[in-house]
Amino acid sequence: MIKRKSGVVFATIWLCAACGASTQPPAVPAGPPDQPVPASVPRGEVHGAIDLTPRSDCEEAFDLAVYKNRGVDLITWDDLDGRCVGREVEVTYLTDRLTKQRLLELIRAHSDRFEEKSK
Amino acid sequence: MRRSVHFLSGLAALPTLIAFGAHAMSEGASELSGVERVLSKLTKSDSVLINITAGDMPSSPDILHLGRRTRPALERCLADNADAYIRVRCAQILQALGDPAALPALRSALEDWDARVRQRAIRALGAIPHPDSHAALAKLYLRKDEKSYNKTAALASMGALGSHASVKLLRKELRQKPKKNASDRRATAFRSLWRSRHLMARATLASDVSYALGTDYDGLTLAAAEVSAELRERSLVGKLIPLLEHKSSSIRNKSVYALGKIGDKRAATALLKAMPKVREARMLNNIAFALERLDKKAFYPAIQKLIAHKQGVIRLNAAYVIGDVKHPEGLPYLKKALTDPSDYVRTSAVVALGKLGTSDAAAPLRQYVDDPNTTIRQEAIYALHQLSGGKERDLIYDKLFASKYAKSSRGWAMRRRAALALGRAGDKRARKYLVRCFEQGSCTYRGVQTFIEKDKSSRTQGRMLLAWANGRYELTRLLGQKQPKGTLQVATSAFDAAMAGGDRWRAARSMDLLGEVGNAGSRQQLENHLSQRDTSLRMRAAVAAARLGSTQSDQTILSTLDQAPAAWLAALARIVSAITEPEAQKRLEPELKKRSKGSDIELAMASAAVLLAWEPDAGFFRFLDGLSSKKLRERELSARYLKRNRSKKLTSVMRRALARESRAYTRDRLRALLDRR
Repeated sequence: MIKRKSGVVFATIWLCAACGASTQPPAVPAGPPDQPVPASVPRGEVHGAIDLTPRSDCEEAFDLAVYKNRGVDLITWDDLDGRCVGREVEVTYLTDRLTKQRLLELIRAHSDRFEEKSK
Repeated sequence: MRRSVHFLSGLAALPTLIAFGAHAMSEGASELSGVERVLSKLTKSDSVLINITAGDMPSSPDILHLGRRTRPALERCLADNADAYIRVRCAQILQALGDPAALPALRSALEDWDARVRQRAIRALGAIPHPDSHAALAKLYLRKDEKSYNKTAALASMGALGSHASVKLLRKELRQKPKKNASDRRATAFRSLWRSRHLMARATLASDVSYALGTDYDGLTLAAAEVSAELRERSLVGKLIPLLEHKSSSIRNKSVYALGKIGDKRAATALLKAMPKVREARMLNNIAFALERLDKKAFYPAIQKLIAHKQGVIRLNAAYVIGDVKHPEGLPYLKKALTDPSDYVRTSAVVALGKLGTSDAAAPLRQYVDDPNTTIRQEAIYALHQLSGGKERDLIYDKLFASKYAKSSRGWAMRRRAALALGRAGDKRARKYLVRCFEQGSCTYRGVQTFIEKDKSSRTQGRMLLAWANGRYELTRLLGQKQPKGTLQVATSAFDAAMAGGDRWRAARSMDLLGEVGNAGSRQQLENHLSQRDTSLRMRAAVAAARLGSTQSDQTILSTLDQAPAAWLAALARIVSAITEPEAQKRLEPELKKRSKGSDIELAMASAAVLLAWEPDAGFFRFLDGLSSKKLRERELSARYLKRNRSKKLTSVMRRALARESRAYTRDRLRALLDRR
């Protein structure tokens, strides 16, 4: 009896919540807009297991914080969208602008845990 | 009377201007000889539409298939045909063509004696925006004898022009209170102004939004509350807070949402004050999400009160919100909700526990995996599955999929949901059920896709081929990847049968599959259709042939894009985006890049959309330029194409751009686009 009714209620509140879920904008950065980087520019790669601080938009908040560093090229996530803990992430970076050590510090500064893994 | 009937049928035909037409597939299709005669002269004589009657007027898609070469004849039609209905049709088709060269003719049509023709011309001028159209639209708007609906349409079109003169007029109209019994067009003026916001100083725009928030016209207040969330100006907070008590639920909710987005701490006190008085789920959720962003310390004490509220529906929603903010701090409140007397509240708490992402949430859920209430039992098991990162497959199988209840006629929904969850987790025990469920149409392809894609069974693949032949064309890409035995034969035969029977839909899908799995023979077969009159079929044939290595088809792809009506370019770009073969992409890329930088904005952005689909990282920068363009149309098209491309890589690239973007309007737009992804 309860099954069908609760489905309706959940559908309704799900839609409502979608209107509300997002983040505050980060502080406005200085400098030029994002620029294309030729494929020939050398890149490095870091891959690992990560726990993000739980919040409704944890993945996006991490991306926005880490991407502020222009040495970060691309962040790629696993398929566990919506989860904050137990994720896998791969970060490519421009080796002439950012060292691996600095990148690892950056990732750890914006996550609860990061454990580097070989691919 | 006759004219009004014609006019209505003209309006009814409008959607066909957007979709590809169905008439042009077969070269030998039987048509009225008069219509055929007109079509054959349409690109050669600009006077062919002057003296025709409604009966001899070709269908809109048939004209559009001939492309931009029909413009001169359509312009003469708009100026000289005596039948207002035909002039309306010609204006509609000129709008769909989207050729800026038609603007002088459309501006002249604002002087037409018939109000319906003027209305169509007004809309077309908005759809092919150019600042120079302002004077003609303003002249029409200021005429005292103009129809009210045309004045409203003119204000809407002015918002698209990207004209400083239009902005001036719109700002004046925004503050113009209507006379008694007159139409109130302030909301239209405001929305138009918002479209032109890149031409205004940010402070000026914020003052206009602030003004609109404070008016007593609900339509205008709602429009202003909506845009406040994108503008995110702190100066609006003072105007938004009183709207938390507005009589309109939409205005209240939009205001809460905007306050959360603006992120000014002043709003937290007002939201906390409003929270106990809330009487609707949507408002409660919006307040909770806004508070969670504005003042986390205040959020949990407030939500604690709601989780103990005397009304069950409020406790239910409070539990839901705690789950969605995903903080482990919510755990004690949800544990308390598990003891609630209401099954609804307990179910909501169980679902919320699964979202917390902390292993501590698993223990309280375990006690519900055998709950007699099937809803609570299911939600507890799925919550555990979620918390474990998809490792509770056996629990789903034993307690749900293979349970006695699930196998009974009453338990079909439980069994199907369990099968779909097992399928997503790649559990082969659900194979038989899932394949059958898809074949019967009880499961969508999206629901079973993860499982079917990973399933290596040749018998499953064979059944997917059979399903494709029976019309499940969403399997085209899968069959291309798996290529089960016999696919090429089936695709070839389906194509032959579709062409022979005039089945345009099936022909298109068969071409797509031939592009995936075809050989040299298929390439030849497809090349025979490069002169198809039907634009969509011609493009699909060319794309499929190009994928199979046909260099001859490259030119067809490019010329079809060049000639296509603006209204069809997005759909054509989507067809070209299907090319995944690096060699074919490499052949087309230089020409598409050239077009993406050209002055024809419609063609430029469609070409850029193809490059974006092929390589989001490199292709995105053209759209970043587009979002910051001085031309409104370029900004709007950029946003539209970015919205359509749902790739995860693009989402990441957009976040990168937002993190580094300092231009205020570009940031606003990127932020709004990311919020919708």
